Amino acid sequence: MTEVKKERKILNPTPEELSAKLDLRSANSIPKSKDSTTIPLESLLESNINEISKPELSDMSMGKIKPQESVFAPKSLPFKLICGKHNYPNMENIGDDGLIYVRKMSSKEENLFYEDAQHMTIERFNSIITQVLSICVRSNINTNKLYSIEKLPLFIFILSLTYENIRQFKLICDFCSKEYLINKDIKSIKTKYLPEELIIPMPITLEGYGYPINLLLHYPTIDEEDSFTNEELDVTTRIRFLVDKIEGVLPTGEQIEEKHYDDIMAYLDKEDIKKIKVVFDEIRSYGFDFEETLICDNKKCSGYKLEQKQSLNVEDFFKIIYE
Amino acid sequence: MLRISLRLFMSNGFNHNFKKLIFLPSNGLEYLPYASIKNVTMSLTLLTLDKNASNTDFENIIQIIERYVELPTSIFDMFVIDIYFIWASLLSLEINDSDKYVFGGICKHCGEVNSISMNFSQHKTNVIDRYKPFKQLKVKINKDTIVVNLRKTKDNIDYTYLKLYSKEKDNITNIIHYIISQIDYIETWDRLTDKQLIFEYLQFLSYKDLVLLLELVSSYNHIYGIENELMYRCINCRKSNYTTVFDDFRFCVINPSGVNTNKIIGFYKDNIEFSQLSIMSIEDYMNIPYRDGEFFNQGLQGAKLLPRGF
Repeated sequence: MTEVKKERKILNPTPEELSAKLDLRSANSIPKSKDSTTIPLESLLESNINEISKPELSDMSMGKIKPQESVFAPKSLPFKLICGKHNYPNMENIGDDGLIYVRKMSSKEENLFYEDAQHMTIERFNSIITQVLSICVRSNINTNKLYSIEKLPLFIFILSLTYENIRQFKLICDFCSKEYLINKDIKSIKTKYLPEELIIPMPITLEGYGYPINLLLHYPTIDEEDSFTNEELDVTTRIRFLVDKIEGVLPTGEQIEEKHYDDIMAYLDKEDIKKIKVVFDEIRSYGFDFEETLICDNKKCSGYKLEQKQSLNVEDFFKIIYE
Repeated sequence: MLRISLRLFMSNGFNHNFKKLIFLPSNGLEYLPYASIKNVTMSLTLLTLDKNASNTDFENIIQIIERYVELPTSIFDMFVIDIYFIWASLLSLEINDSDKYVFGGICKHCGEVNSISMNFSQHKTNVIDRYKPFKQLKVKINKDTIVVNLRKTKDNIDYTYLKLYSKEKDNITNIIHYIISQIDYIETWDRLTDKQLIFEYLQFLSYKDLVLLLELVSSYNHIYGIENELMYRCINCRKSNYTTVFDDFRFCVINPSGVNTNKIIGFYKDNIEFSQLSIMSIEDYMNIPYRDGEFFNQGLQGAKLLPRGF
């Protein structure tokens, strides 16, 4: 009992801690994942969480939570950031366990998707998501400074708070192209969190110059996303945005300084670019696990009854907005 | 002599003295259910041509009603169902030469602009039953109940100007501005009657709930009065369309102000030409019943008194 009281002081406990400390009745209802870095979204969405989800008033007065919009504003619920607290050392309003508070969309935010919907482009849709995140995240943080791998899980989380959780997804058999519509509960989608040892910015040693250069690169944040994915820019320019620091000694004996950064990044060796890509791909592998198993029931199909690993179509998550 | 007798005829004749009593659909819910339509004269033309007279179609309607109808109470406190009923009556009895009302409708299938003609006398009017308790609209959203009053003239006027002056021009604020003045109270953890709180409450509804509320309120606004929904077949694609006869949203749009100079000049020219006839003055012309304008011309023509150019 004493321990529970002590834990109440923790700002943003993990989902497990939340259930344990605040509603012992529901402690068993939150599934424990075998993999410590993988937790079903369900654990954050259970109705029992609703009861204890309102950020404490002290959090508000300490500025950790944005000022209350209205007494009618929807309740905020905790969301655990994919990259964890350790990757946002400068964002003091993120809880120790990487938890931030998020509310569902109200009609105003939903309406952003409907205005001029007939002329909606991917770019505009993406920028509306950014706008929605900045409104619906109630923790007092600059959401644009979150790493972009947080964006999709965070938005899907907001969608699941706003609409019902059962969605229809289309899967297509790789062998016979038969289409399957499956109903899936968003709450059951597993989330892979970055392990403690994976720290952003990532150190990468460049070898293409013939002498070691140590690069410190961060993953693109939400507001760097557009530049990073801008295909009109060449790869090296896109990576240049992400450089935090470059260290090393030039053949002349001179220490690498900021004035050298542009040149170093402009003449990156192909192998070094590959190395950077590998690191980025690794980070990208965290977040929601969209993998789904499909077993084709078409007897004429060469893949009949074979287990196929498929990926849920991200667009199927967004359809609910327009239904 | 002819001029004097015509004047006497115009001012004292049967055309000018009767007032047509109409029975209002609100049936005494808040005020007496009677209104009297007076004779609408040619002077209506000046009112409709005056650029300062009104900003919206709805204001134009109430402007004309206030001038030509004896009302049981302030027009701003009257129910919109009564206003539309009076307007339809005024159009059929006094303004149009038939009881047909013509308005535009855009086909939802092919986009063709159709001219829809309806006959008010054959259109159903639902009157509130005064011997049964009147029910406010109660909309249940989640665990809350939103209680809505029947729409009044002032609600439409408020909506027009709230929309005009609001800094926020999005659809959601527009919907809220339309609904809010009609809301009596919201039963949530407490009874909310303060409009500021009600505004905040509505802002945080989901889109689906807000649109549902709008649909229910819009339907409720026309449960009584002239049946508002009309089915027509598109002249181009022959597909069926449903439209509303009286649409508050459409009627509350501020029209671009502009003066139809040619129409005004034409009106004064006719007036001056008629007044040059030995039989009548400008005042006499202004007092001709509006609906008789064409017949009056024909009468003058028959009597070979029509000025040149007519």
